[in-house]
Amino acid sequence: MSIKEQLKETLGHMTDKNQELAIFANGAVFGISRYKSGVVDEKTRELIQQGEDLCNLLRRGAELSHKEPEPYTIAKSDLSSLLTFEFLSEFFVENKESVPFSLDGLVQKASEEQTVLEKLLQPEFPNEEIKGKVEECQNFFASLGSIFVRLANDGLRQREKSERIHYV
Amino acid sequence: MTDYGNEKKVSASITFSLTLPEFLIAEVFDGIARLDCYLDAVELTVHPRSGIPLRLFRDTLGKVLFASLEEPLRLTRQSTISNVPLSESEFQALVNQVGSTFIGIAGVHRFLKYLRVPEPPPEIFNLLREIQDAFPDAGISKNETDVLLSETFNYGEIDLHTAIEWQLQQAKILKTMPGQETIVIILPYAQVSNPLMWTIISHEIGHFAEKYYSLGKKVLGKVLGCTPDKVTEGTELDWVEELISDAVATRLLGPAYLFSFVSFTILQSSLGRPSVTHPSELSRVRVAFNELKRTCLSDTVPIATGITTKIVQLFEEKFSFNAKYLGDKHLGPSKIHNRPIDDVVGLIGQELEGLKIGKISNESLVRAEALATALAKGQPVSALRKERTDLQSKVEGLRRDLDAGKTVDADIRKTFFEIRDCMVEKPSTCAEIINAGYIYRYQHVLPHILDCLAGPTVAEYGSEHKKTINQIDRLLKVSLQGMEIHKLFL
Repeated sequence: MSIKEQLKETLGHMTDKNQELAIFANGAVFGISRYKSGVVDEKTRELIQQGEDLCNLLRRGAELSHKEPEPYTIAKSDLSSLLTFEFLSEFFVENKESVPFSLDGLVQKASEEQTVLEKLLQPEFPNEEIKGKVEECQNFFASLGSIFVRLANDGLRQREKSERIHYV
Repeated sequence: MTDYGNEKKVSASITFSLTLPEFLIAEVFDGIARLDCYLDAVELTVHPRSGIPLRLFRDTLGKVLFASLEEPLRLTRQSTISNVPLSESEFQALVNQVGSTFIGIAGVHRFLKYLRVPEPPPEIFNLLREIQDAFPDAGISKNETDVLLSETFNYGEIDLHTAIEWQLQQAKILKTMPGQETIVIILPYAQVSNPLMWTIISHEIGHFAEKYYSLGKKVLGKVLGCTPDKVTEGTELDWVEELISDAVATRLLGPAYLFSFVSFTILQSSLGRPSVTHPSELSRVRVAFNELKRTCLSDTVPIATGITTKIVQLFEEKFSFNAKYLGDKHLGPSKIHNRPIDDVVGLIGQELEGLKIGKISNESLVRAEALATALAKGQPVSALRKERTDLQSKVEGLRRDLDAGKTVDADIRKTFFEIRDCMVEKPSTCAEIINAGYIYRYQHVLPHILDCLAGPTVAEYGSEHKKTINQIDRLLKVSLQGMEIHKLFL
């Protein structure tokens, strides 16, 4: 079993992490939705911030993945970024036709959408340019949310398979 | 106990019309509150030393799980009030969010194993007995099946004898272990007090029956055109065995089985893809629905038929969502699926008919609809009185005849027996009680959740909803116990 496989086992197929990331992605959609209906309060900022955190995590994961580090030697926070990216890579390979963007474009897309999120909360915005990008940004995070929910759900079922119980 | 004739008209006017997001929110909210009820049960029935870990769990429920539903609710409410449909990405995120919360419930549930465990309620064994009694063969009805609680948020069965023997073989300790098949039903902790989810037991007993009679090989042999002994182990056989167990469960418990299956699976991200051991959930729901339409759903049970149809529509809609956003597909790469599924179900039906296994009747569902109305009034539903016609005038007539000294008249006897017969209460069956519970849930409880969540914060209403859950569970359990007492007087 490869180190990555072992880590997947140890981390319970990343179910909990993927579930958390799904919440972050959904948070961004809800934050934008509040923004669009004119509610810009602490909760809106918190939700939009979740989207930004997710983008940071994805960028870091891609960076680590390209360096091909020895997973045991990196910090725990980086490890979850790396594994998130690895899980996404596998998912993209298996589900090319159903994902509306490619893995290669993911990091760039995440950076672009992060910029949109950042600008939303600045006092001088939104200008017309950003307004036009909000819809696409919301779609992007909704798609990411779906991917993470799917990964978390698959992990949940994988975890159950290790038992000898015959489930419904 | 309730009066049959008066009740039906009232409940017939109520329909179940939640949208998919509303239904999913209500289901998940109910699931979190039920987890909280389990913590209460631990606190009450085991030692107060559990206090500190219980607080940890409760904080997670309040601050994480309940809180995660606030935005989905806000969006749903906003859409309803403004009469503007949700945008595509909002709808997507909303359904994703409740799916994610469901996974969160399963995650928290895993840690319940670190708390001490209350005993399963005794009423669960009444249902188990009724299910076993539906099989005429003593090999099944006398088997002492036990119920075990598990941290896994799923339902299952395990043959303990085989499982232990396998472990011993793996560890090279023993090659065989003395003893025989010992089936144990597995329920998740949080559902142990929920009689509505005990229905899954019927599927597990169905597996026991299907193995006992080798039904899987008989049916697959007919599909493949060979004798049962030529059928090999594998995915196709596993799938047929699942469909047989579903058919048994649907026959025994009617729509209640389909409802519990949908309640448990609808939040998952893959409903169309089969696994190595199971056909897809979508196939199973479609098969069960067809079976119900063929056996017990009809115009005479408009409420049960309406709710079942609506629940299946919601399930199909959720599958469409999964197909659009989660890469789900309806797949069936098997010989079983190459043969029309109706043919396979027909073959299963033939085998089951030959065994004379008990099954729920249309009449039972008529009774369940009447019982649901009584539940809504807070009454136990352990028995149902026959419809009374002219009771008052008959009693007065009898009194007049007796006063007139007519003590041996044949008419007096007839009137007396008529009066006595209409006073008799027929005990409900577990299947009727549980179907009534589901009708009440869909007509009243779930819509009420949505109504009430419009007011206080989600976590605040959680405490209120727990009272409803406890009240219904208690009513259903009292009814399941009470019916045994009614049987003594028959």
